[in-house]
Amino acid sequence: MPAEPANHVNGHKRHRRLDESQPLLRVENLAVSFDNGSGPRIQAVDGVRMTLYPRQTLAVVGESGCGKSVTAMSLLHLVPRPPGRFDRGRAMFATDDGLRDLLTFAEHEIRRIRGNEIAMIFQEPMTSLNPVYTIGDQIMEAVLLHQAVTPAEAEVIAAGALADVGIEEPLKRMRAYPHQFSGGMRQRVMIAMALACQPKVLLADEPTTALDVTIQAQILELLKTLQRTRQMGIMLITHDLGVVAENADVVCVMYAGRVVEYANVFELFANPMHPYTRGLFDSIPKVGELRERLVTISDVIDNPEAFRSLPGAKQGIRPWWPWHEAPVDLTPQEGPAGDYYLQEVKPEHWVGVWRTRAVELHESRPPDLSYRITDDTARTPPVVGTA
Amino acid sequence: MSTSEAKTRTQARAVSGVELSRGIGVQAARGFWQDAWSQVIRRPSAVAGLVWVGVVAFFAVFAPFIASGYPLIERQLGAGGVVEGVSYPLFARLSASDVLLLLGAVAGVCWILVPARLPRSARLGAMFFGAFQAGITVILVSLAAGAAGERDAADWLRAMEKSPWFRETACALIAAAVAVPFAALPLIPRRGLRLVVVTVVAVVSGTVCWSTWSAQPTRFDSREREAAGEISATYTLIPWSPNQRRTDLDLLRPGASYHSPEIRAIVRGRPDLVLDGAAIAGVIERVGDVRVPPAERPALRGAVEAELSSLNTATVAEVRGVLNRHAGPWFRFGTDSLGQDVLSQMLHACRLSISIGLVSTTIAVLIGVTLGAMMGYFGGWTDMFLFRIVEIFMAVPVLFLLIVAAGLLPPQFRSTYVIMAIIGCFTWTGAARFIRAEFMRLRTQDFVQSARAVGLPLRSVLFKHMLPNGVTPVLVDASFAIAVAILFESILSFLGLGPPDQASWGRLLSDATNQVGQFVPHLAIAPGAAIFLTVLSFTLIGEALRDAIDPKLKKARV
Repeated sequence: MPAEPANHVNGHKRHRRLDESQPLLRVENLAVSFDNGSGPRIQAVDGVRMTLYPRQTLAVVGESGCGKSVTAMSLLHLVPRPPGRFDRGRAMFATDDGLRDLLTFAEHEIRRIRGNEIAMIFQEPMTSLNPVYTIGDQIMEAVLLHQAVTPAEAEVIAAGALADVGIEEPLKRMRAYPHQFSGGMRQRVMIAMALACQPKVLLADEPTTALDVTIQAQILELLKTLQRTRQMGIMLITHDLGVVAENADVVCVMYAGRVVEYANVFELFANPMHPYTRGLFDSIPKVGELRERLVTISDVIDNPEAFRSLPGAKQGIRPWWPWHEAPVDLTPQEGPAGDYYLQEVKPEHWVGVWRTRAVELHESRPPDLSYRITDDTARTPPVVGTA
Repeated sequence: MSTSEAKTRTQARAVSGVELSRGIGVQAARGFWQDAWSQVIRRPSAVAGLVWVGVVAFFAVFAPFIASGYPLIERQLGAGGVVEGVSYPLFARLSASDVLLLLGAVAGVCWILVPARLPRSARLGAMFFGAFQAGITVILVSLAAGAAGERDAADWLRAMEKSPWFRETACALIAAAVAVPFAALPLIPRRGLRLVVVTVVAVVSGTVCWSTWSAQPTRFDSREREAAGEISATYTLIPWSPNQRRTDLDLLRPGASYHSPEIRAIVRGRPDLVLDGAAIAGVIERVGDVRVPPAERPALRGAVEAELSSLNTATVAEVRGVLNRHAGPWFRFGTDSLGQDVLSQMLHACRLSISIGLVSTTIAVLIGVTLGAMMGYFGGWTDMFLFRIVEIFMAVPVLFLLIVAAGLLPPQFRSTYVIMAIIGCFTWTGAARFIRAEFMRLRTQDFVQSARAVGLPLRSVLFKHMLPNGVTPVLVDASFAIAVAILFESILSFLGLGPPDQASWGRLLSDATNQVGQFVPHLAIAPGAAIFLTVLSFTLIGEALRDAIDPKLKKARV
């Protein structure tokens, strides 16, 4: 057995305060591609950058297939390789012995990260639990794997985790099988399983998509409460802007494997800068507005004017958009995604732009926001179009 | 509203979720296997099959204590019939596999049935592991002892066996080899407990090795010594060993009695032959039925005399009838062409049949599941390469391979274990293909991804999370495979290519026709029925299992 990490006391992890000014996870220029048989490789993720701080919720938004899940799964090496491959980039994670690049971890190293330091919740609560084991067995297995505890202690921890996620009579419920639980309860079990080992980072891959709205609200509220008490950083992958407005601190909008916009939630909702983000917001129908036909994303992005409104547009900073011809003054770097840069176009607001001469001259810092909505103020969700 | 009316209404009403949460009408959850099992035992045919397999398994374990030519208790008699000492030849001659099977069956049943905190599946796993280790002990020690005891063994080998330390060292080595894997058993968390388990296993297997090695040579002389008045013996229910040969007792009919050779010589004649008074007196004189202790012999002789002396002449048939009546039926199923008791062989052969079926299928399932899991989970080149191996193995006709092996292998390797290994190593392709298909389906399932995301090692993901979800078709296939393996062994033995010196149903069958050139019904009926019933039982169990775990069939039936 590997030597036990020092932060295990009596089987429970001592809750060590994390330095909230230091990022937990910094993804730098991540690129992942997949083998496509006889055809060329498919670039699923191409130069993604993002940063996650303790006690912060980073929402990753985008349409299906834009690389949200692949980004998250790459961090834990859950992308099957082959056919997948990490082309470039780093994912610096604050382990107990300093920052280390997750992508270079060997299988046995990443296994100690999985579930223990970084946990993941999947989209489908209906199929994410093994049908042949009881709920208790499945939670206890994770606890026994990562913590030096006896089975009896693991049972207590598992029951505690179930109680944390609001399941009544946890000791009794631990003997039940997944098919006896409703969808919402199963998702709670998944969360309990993910949180039983007190991870630093939780990757929540559309945790509420399969649930109805009331359960959705409960689960998200639960995640927020647990996040506050444990200083956990959450990467919330979703395509539901309502969920984003309610829960996120920082939002990262992705399209075609690249980040197109990155800002805190109030700034992004008040002042979306990339035409695609604007299209996303405009396509949400608004209460009290009579329309014959809803606005679509293409209504916004097909308008060439939409691409000339960035700060610095006069210097030649243009939003990156894969369907457009590249600008004439493009100065691409070597390698793939060299025609693109995630530029801080105004303080604390990043937009994916073409790597034109103007961008090359004024390269900005990578996206890095330690912003969190303060816990004590009652939060009013941001409303699209108001500052 | 009357009370009875209220009662009927509450009974008819379904309970709501709120009531359930208050504990009204709560039922304990049943796991998948429990559910499947309860469906299997609802079928009368499957229950009948299970009962028959249980009977065969019972005799497989307890045959040495039911049918043995060695006395259970042997009292040495001194002058004047005084008991001078008591010995227990049956226990002294038990082989390693007898002892291990008995210990395993008794301890195993307790281990599974006694309520404890440890879940039953984990206990079953531990028992399986123990059985595996015990099997390896028996094979190792029989190979070691066999190689050294061989008539044409090399000189250095013989010299080595004669050296004073050889047996101790060999036994210690085998015991250590068997016990050390227990240290890695994940069931036992504490180091001290682990040490105790390893020590116990080492001591048990060491003792077993030692007792096997120093086993006395086969000698069935207790009846002669009893007739000579040296001893008085108590036998088991069936007082014959399966390999106890009496050439003068060959091909007796079922129910024939055992008497001294002189009487047999007299009553063996034509049934209608008339014996005169002198011959009858000779018979009475020699009623030396060794089953009866010497002290009771005069009484028996008196009884026979009372019936026979009134007759001046009697036919052989009459004499035989009187003798049978008083000496009791000895060979209940008759004897074969070597004078060996058929019933005793039938019981001892249970062990061969059931162990050939179970062990070879276990080997096949273990190989098939491991390789199939790798093919299904990794896919790509692994799948490509391993599937070619599967195809190669699929092309080998197992029965012909067994026949060739029986012809080519030297006699010390023509043992049961080799037959089991050959059947197991060449029939795993079915299991591998089933598991491969199931794992290909399962590897994209969310719970497998989820198990990986929790950080479980590959071993746990493959065999703890994926295997129970995909193993059902293999189990159904395995119960049919057991039946096939039993048939293979019977065919081999029928052809005279089975393991030598082993009681076997197939060998009895072949004896019914081959050796004497005529058909002997009583040698064919019992073993034939046993083979038929056993194969049928496993097929019935397999069918019930298949129906229980196949949701499509379930839907069609309900």
